[in-house]
Amino acid sequence: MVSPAIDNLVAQLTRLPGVGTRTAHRLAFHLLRAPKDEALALASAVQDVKERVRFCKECGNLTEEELCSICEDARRDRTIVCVVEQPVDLISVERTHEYRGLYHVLGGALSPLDGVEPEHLRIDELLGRVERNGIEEVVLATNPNMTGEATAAFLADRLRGRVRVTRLASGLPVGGDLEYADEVTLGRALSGRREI
Amino acid sequence: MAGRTYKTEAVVLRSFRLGEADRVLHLYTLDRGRVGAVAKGIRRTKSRFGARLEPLSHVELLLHQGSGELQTVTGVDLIESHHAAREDPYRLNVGLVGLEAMLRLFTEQEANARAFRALTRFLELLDEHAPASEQAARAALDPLALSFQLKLLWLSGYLPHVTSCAECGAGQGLVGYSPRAGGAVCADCRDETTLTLAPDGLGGIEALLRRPLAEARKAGLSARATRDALVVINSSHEFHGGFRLRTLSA
Repeated sequence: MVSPAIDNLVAQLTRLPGVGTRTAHRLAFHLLRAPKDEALALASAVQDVKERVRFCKECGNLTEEELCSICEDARRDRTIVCVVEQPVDLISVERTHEYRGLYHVLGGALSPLDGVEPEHLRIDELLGRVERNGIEEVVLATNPNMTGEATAAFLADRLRGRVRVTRLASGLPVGGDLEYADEVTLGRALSGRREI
Repeated sequence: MAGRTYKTEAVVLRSFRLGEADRVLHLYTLDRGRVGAVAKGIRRTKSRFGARLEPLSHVELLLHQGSGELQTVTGVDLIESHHAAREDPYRLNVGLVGLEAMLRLFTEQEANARAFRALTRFLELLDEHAPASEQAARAALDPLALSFQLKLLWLSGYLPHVTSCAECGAGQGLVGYSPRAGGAVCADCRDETTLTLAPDGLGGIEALLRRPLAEARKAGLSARATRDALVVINSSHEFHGGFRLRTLSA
């Protein structure tokens, strides 16, 4: 509309999640108004992550080296592995400061309706790690939805007898009121209650 | 033009992520048949909708129909979560086969109360069967899955005719199934597209069609009859709909 370069920038920004045409226009004009070095720093940051960031050879987390910082960290408990669907889930678990073991990123969850089968995920790599590395416990931290639960059930079946397999508990969010809990979550919280 | 809100029973057939925290739902509703809807914020842990709108869930929904193609979920009451079926791998697989068959065969926004009731009954029966082993699960659930799929073919107008030759009407000497003819054929009418079926297989399909879903197991299908029923279902899907169920090959 104004120039092909701006149109192209708007089109590229619109491809980002949660960004519509109006937001893309606002971002594009913000970048035009910003000092040149500030705008180019953004372009350079995008280029850097695309060129440098890759998957950890061991766990599938994002890293700039062959192994990620968690796999390299000698203070981590190497007998326990937490299995997550995506690297962003790993960051959520890390934020709890409750877990000091290693991770394994599957790269998704099983979904036969969408054509996602076991061979599309890093399941063989997980089984290989369990076999090789003296792992004693695998914590299944896939999402508590149908695909995540199906993946957890599949992995539990494959790992049974080789290692202790645990699943993240389901229950009530801390700070919430019981009256607002949905019946499925509250039911899970009841069936998974523990003695105090 | 302002949209309008209505209430209906629905089963969640499928859901996939949309944007930051939303999901698009494929629903089969009692009042309008197949409907697509957005459930906003459903993936956030504070959402009260999330657990209620998982695939297999039978719910009562408040849907808002605006000007777009997708409707918006504004309220959910759970009728039956079917979590027992969802948490058992074999039952979940059978349930997904049923959901995919619904997704493929009932694509229009057109009410079909019998299809809806068949779906909810199928899910109830999945919940009721709690087999001790995979072998027991196969024995109990494979006939149920086949029976449900045959009934869906019937309800969508593709019922295979198996009691006489679909070409010449002969009542004896049926040797196979012709998707083109829409049913069993005799030796004289068979052609290169005919799939050979055992008498056991044709009898099994007829028995499954005659019985209610809850009695599918009592049809007493042999291994060959089970295989033949599956061949008939798959070839009907391929010939009439141009698809194969992904979940059956999983």
